[in-house]
Amino acid sequence: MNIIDSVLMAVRSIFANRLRSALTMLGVVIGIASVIILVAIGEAAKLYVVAQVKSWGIGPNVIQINPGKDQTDISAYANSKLRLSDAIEIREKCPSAMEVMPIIAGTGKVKYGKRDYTVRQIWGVTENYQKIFNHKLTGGRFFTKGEVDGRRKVCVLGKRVVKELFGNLDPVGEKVKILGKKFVVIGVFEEKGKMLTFDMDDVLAIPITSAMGLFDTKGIIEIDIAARDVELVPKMINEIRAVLDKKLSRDDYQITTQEGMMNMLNNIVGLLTSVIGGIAAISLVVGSIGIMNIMLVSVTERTKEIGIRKAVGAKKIDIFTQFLIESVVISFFGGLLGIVIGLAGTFLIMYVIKLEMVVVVWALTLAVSVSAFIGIASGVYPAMRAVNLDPIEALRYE
Amino acid sequence: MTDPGKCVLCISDISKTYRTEKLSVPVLYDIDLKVNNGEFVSIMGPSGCGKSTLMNLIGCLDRPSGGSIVLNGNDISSLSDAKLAEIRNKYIGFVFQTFNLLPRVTAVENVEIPLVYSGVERKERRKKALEALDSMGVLKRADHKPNEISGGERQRVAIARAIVNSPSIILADEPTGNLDSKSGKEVMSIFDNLNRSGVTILMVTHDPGIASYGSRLIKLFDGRVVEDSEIKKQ
Ligand SMILES: Nc1ncnc2c1ncn2[C@@H]1O[C@H](COP(=O)(O)OP(=O)(O)OP(=O)(O)O)[C@@H](O)[C@H]1O
Ligand SMILES: [Mg+2]
Repeated sequence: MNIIDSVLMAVRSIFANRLRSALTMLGVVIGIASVIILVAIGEAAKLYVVAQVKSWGIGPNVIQINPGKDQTDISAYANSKLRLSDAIEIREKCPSAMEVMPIIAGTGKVKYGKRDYTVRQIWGVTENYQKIFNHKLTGGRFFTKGEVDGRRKVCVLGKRVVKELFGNLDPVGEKVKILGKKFVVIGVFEEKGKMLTFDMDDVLAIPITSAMGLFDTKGIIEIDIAARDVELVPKMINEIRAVLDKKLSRDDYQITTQEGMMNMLNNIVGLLTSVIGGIAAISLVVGSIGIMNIMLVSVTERTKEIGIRKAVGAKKIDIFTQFLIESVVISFFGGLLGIVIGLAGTFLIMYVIKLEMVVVVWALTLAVSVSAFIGIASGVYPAMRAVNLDPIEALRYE
Repeated sequence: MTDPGKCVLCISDISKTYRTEKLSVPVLYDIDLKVNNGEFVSIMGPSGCGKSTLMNLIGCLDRPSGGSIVLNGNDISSLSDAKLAEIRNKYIGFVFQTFNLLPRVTAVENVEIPLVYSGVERKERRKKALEALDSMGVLKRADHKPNEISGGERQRVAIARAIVNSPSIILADEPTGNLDSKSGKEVMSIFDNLNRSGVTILMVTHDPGIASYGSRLIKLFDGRVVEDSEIKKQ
């Protein structure tokens, strides 16, 4: 019996049971479509994160020092052993370092007149903040070295903070109260938008010296250091370690390069992508169980047909291919439909969340092979059942 | 008695015992039977005496527990499953009491099935199937599904399916069992015509009137042949 006849026969029998076949296919369609959509979203998120990080203009010559052994050591931030003096010493003793910018962070209530607003990120930084980050001002000015050294109570506000406290008024020159202390607004940051879930406009910058008093802390949570040249980064790291190792153990601080930073972000997003992709893949397994279930029902239902076919000369292999092809056809078309819906869904979602559409070729290839595999895997067992039916009993079956 | 040169079916000493887990049920004992080309054999016997069992063995749907069956020169007791399927396809045409047509496909498609398994190309298949339906007088029912036609017509479609591959032998197990007497007679006259054109027929029946269409009568009792005689035509 030739293959075209087999496929036509399978298609006919699928059409004879339209609704059932369609519902069976649906399992595969949903599985394949969700894998494609989720993988595409993951990939788009990766590109987006990279683009966001790049928008901060942090050059490849910048490294960052954080408290703790590695990025998973979140508790180290609360009792950081890094001090302002360390930053100063690095500036003095590391010839490869061009800019050294320590950061202290906290959150707190900011008041203007009767209005108040709790700012998510209050940063204590130094005057060279804008040399590290591409964070421009739309009004006023940033604070100076003199203001940092003099512990002046001046602040630069993010757009969100301005909107909450001042509405449409120009805040520059106005006085606000941060955690009860009076500060003068001297500048306004440009709008940055959201990075993942993080609102980069819900920020406020003050001199690091004032922040230490305000938050009653000496612990520095980050020191950003720009090397004079990218080539000098490894040398600079050695210089920095020479300084820090005198006071701190290697468990107390960590150094991350831009490359390391990117890798880490990509790893996090990649991990998320595989987790959701994996969950979607479970629905594929469910879909394939659905096919197997229907094929088993179909074999039982068509016991008599199998007996008749055997009586008129069907070989075991003919019966086997008949049922196998049926399940392969169901899952193949389910797969195709899943891809179409997956791509359309990706397009739609990307359009709504305003990310660039990414066609992930490997996910498509995988989806097609998986649906073919599902068809075969879930068809073999029912087909074997059909093959092994005794023709006499099958003919007697009612 | 029989001319071995013309022998289409040669059964020597076969027995059949059904074995279930604990029970073994002997059904046929030492059956010896030779059927010549062109014979029309009626097989009779009380219910449960093993008629269907014998037909299934001859039809290669089951294997004997002992002895040998030679069909058209092939010793079928020693063949593989695939080879048996081929023999069923080429040399045997089954006609069942309950017709056994596929309910979801049309008459002509039912008749085509044996040709599908012998690898006949599509156009040729359709042509042969239509010819077979025509010779059974049910050409106008070609595009009807089995549930749209009468019992007699169904059996004629089933006979068309049995003869479409020009088999050496037709095995009919109570072919008129589910038909009224008029349809039964029509089917028998078809068998008569087929037999006249040279087709060998083995038919099981409970009805002596139907059996009398044959040229030879075999009676089974408790798994043994107890009578084997010629049928005189009036
Ligand atoms: N698969 C089986 N397992 C065990 N016993 C069986 C099996 N098939 C048939 N038998 C037994 O074999 C005997 C002969 O059965 P068979 O169907 O050949 O009878 P029959 O002569 O065709 O009867 P009927 O005229 O009622 O059709 C019966 O006693 C039956 O119960
Ligand atoms: Mg019987």
